[in-house]
Amino acid sequence: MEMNRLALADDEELRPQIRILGTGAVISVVLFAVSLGVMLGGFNDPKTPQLPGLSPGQTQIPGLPTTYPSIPAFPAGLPTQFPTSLPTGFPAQLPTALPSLPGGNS
Amino acid sequence: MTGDLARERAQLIMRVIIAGYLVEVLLNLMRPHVLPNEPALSIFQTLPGPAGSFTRLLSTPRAVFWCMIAGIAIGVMIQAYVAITRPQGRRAAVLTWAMLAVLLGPFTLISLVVIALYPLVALACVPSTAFALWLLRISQRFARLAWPVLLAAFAWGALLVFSLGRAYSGLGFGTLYGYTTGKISATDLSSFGTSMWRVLGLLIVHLSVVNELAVAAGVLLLLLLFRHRRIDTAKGLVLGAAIGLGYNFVESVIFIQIYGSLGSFLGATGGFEYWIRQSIGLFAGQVTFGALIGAGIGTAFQTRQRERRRLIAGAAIMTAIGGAVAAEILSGWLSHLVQGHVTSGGALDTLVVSPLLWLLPQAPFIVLAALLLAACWRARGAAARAAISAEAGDGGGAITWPEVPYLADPRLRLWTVAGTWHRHGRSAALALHRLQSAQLDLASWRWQQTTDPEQDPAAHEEGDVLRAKVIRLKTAAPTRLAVTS
Repeated sequence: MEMNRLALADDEELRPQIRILGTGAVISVVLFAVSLGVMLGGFNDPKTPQLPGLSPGQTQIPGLPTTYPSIPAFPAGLPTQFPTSLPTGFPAQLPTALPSLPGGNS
Repeated sequence: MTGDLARERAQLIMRVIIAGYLVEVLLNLMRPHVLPNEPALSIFQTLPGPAGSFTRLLSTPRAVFWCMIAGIAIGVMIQAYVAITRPQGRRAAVLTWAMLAVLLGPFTLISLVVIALYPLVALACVPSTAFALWLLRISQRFARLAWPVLLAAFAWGALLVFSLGRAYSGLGFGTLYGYTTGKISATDLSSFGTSMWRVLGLLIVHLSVVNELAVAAGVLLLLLLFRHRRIDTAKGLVLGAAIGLGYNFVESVIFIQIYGSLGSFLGATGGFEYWIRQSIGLFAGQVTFGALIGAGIGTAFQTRQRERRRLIAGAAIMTAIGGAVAAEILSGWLSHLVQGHVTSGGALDTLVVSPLLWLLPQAPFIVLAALLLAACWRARGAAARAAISAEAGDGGGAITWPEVPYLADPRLRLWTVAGTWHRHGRSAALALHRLQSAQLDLASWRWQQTTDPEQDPAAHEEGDVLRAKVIRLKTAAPTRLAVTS
């Protein structure tokens, strides 16, 4: 900023601007402190429904489960393929004509 | 010499920006991992479904991140080359600006991605933003900044401040989240929610600090580039506000889009966001805080003592940071207080209550920015009178003594133009307006040259061109403009 010497104003001329900026700094410090108080105090947190508590006699869960429960194994020897050969004389074609209705109606 | 200083300062600013980003990356890499299969950098974590678009608030696309890292690597190589070869003159300037483009260019992709993804929303924000930029320009009254300078400030805000804020805070969020939510109690899941709200609060502080420092860097850089001209509070204020306006533009696009898509979950709509960000609150938020920072740095430039300069600029930056944090947190708190007393989503809430709650914590800063602008107007008015009188005293004919009172007083200028329109028609009034504008440009040039006449010989030629323009306009329509004399 050394080369701007000719433009340097007398600080008296800048007093109004400096005063306004100083006022802004004080206000911002106050509002910043209030904001931190609101944030850290939890005043801004949304209200969430309370989780149900333990009934008398119930014991507290010591910790969340860390493993999945084991699933019973399937019995061995289950068929895994469809049969590939059909018995002898098995009808291989669908009928091509419908049977006629009783009474001779077509 | 001026260019050298500006380049040195620009390099210093860039090094601070890049060093800060690398620190954020390092802290994020070292954070405790909360979830299984969490990526090394938290910014690579993606959420499924509609929540995915919500993460765009702070997201850095993977490709953009790697472009940033590549840009930093290339920038370092260019710096090493410059350090070894020590180029001089134009070659040194070209290498410096190329390095800055390579280092900062990839960061701007974050903003560009937002605009490219939602072009219609961006288009909807253009008219109000352009109007605000025009108001900023005419608010200077005298020695106005040229449009390219204002647009450069706007681009700094839109492309860099927004992107840097997201790039830093995206990493900061993951880091804070890792350190504060690492211990989730199995019997008290509400502690997780409490931790999350603390993280979001701290994230607002983090984002505000990064944003305001980036605004300050932009104002400082632009003022240094134009420091051969006179620098005053008004110039800084307008530059800062233009940077804030650019930031506000991209932020509006993302918020309007998100609330438009997820309004049923978030409680507001895209239309409401447009109303508060591009209408009633257009000059609030970052525009106000940018104006305060700019005014502070502009005032600091005029101050004699180095310590005092730092104090003034520091106070302005602190004001903006505190204001930005308060604007976010206290408006949310006030909203909680009135919840239940006002019907949410009704006409009264949409048009009055919600905007009021958002603007209330910012009100002191808006008032201070307005007071600063009024102080600038007074100072600029006195400067204009002195410069116009000095030009008339030279006797060159561009400004004559009878014209001085009219030119020095905006109301009299308007009155003469309106009177000319009434008596001689539109074309005569426009001709008079053009002449007065040219005369004010000449007076502005004269005021600017008192800064340092020897530093910029080209500026003297500019003065001759401006005088010739005034004489040409006067001789072109002497009879129509008789009303001024």
